[in-house]
Amino acid sequence: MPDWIAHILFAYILSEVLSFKFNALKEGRYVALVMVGSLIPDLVKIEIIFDLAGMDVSEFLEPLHTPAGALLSASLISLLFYGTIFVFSLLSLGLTTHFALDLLLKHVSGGMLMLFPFSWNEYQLGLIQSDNFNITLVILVLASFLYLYRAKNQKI
Amino acid sequence: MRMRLMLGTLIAFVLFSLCTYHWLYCDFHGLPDNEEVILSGSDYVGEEVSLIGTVIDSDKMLITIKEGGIKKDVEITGFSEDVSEGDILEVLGIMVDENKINADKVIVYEKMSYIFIFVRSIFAIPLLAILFFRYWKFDFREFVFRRR
Repeated sequence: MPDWIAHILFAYILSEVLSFKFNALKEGRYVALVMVGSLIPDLVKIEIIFDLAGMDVSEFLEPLHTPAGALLSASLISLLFYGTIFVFSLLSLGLTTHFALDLLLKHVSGGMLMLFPFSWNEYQLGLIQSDNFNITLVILVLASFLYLYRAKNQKI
Repeated sequence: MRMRLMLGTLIAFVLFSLCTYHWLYCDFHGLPDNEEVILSGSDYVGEEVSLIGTVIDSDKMLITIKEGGIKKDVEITGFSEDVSEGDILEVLGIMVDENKINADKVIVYEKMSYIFIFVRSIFAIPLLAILFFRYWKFDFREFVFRRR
């Protein structure tokens, strides 16, 4: 995975870009939801807690890091808000950015189960290593630029 | 409230079913990995496997692979890149014997670089929490988030 800073800032960048078209994304509260959505697939990391307790639940939790599982997680979370469908769409936008970034990663084999449970085919573009800091730096610079642009043009 | 509870239960059930389906059938898909090699490595001699492990001896090119608290040391051959103890290796190769793999493809993550992914990620949690709770607060009575 790229680090979570890259994920949430990439979601922020997308929200800012889309805000030119969709006024709702000019509101910070909705941008925050897109950013939350960008980490939903990594709920799978709960396995680390179980791992520390000596329990291997990785094979059970793996679907949380698939589009189908992440959408179900997002729908569960969106039930905790009024305007459930709108919140669900914002969270879904966020988790889409997560998969877009993770697809870029390089592994020796496999990849992400993008079509699970309909297909077990795994996909990766194999462009960058997980520990590549450059992608985080690029995203950080872009996000800072957009934040300053927004701050200059309107009060956040 | 009752509607949300019913929907939540239904979605949680579907999600649980999805996880169970994966847990039951994942061993029939993809290449043998850490789990298979640790539990029954000899069954996969001559087959292609995909492992991830930590370098414990860079001269002998020995890595330790781990799964659910169980560890196993595996020697990597056919790979000569400089690595250090603690580096993480992703290895795709053919199992020569129960404890040896002839690598076709290897990705090296330097130890500090790998740890730094998690360090950077930890910073994201408070950042996101501050941002989120700046706009939203939880109403325990209604069990929903409300805008501030």
